[in-house]
Amino acid sequence: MSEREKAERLRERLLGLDPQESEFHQQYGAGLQSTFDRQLSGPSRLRYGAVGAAGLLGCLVSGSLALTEPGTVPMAVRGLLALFAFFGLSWTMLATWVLLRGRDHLLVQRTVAARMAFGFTLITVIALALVIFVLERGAVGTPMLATGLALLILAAVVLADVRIERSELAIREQILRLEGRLMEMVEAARRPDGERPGPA
Amino acid sequence: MNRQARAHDYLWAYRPTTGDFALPTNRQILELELLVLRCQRGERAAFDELVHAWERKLFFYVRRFVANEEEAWQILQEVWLQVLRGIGSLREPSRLPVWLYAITRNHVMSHHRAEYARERWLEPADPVELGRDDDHTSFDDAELVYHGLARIPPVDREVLTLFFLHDLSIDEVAQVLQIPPGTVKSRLFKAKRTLRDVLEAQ
Repeated sequence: MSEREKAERLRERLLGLDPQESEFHQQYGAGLQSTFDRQLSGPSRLRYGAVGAAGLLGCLVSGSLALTEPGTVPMAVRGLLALFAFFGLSWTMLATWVLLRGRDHLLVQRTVAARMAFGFTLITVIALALVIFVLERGAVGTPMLATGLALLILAAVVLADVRIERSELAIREQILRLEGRLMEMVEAARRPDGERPGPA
Repeated sequence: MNRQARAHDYLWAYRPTTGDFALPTNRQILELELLVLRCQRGERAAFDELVHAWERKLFFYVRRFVANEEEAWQILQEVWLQVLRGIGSLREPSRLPVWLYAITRNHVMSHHRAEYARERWLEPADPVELGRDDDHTSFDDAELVYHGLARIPPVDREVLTLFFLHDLSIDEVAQVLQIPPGTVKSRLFKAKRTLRDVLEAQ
């Protein structure tokens, strides 16, 4: 028996001496399940609560403006306000989804948020450009459009960052799986003939 | 630390007298890295596998310092919560064992904060000259070792527990215990001697 096998055997015997199936272990199992289901931390709840509240506020303000502005306000501007109300509602829905789900998976949530931020900013910039063009308000609209473009670049950088992170994880996983298969092949090749699996 | 270097430097395989290292397979380390990546991608089944793979070992570690079984399981539950929340930020998946033991140790220390001051836990061991190595093959009666661990000082118990769990290299144990690798070696040597004395006295 090799040193490693001896050490592993001793470890297994030591681990086996600790109680494993006690009443406390069952309580721990149930608690762990609950932990998995409701793992959102206090600061995370606060953060998502703030996002939800801000989204709801934006939705209410933009929506009520879209509905209550006098008839002299062009339809294009009303449409833009309705769009902002929809964006606010979407952020509230995202925050509600996370809070109800109770799980804090940063990468998944960051991906959804980054896609929403980029999509909404892109739509806003296009809509803003169209409104400026239709209403011929270049002097007033240009600074707004410039701000929108700057935000669009920021959103694109955030989205690219998240996509790179996801791709990196996926590539690393593929490489590790490939390494694992190579190891299996090497181990199989090193086995004596009698132990090699026969052809399928 | 890369996988090859880590595989060559396992604590259980270390022999101070000869400087030899047994060569463990890289397969387990690779599987560990894969598991971490799956957890980072949000795969729920991967978390279950992670818990299944490490629960007994971490419980063994906690139990060596927490006499009450219920409290030990509660501490382990807190450890998993921190692992769940933090695994996304683990940049080097191969460092999972160090990370897990460090988190567990922090929770155990928090539990004992009133009882033991941090300084006491981290106080350097008296310098010990390395002599003949008492490797794990000398401790072949698991039950005696198990009960013997409870009768040696915490500082010795901690390093010996990690030694018997043999998940970490010397450098990694040093990182978990926040002491230099040389101190780990001397502390391990002293701890083995203490345990041997305890076992012989029984």
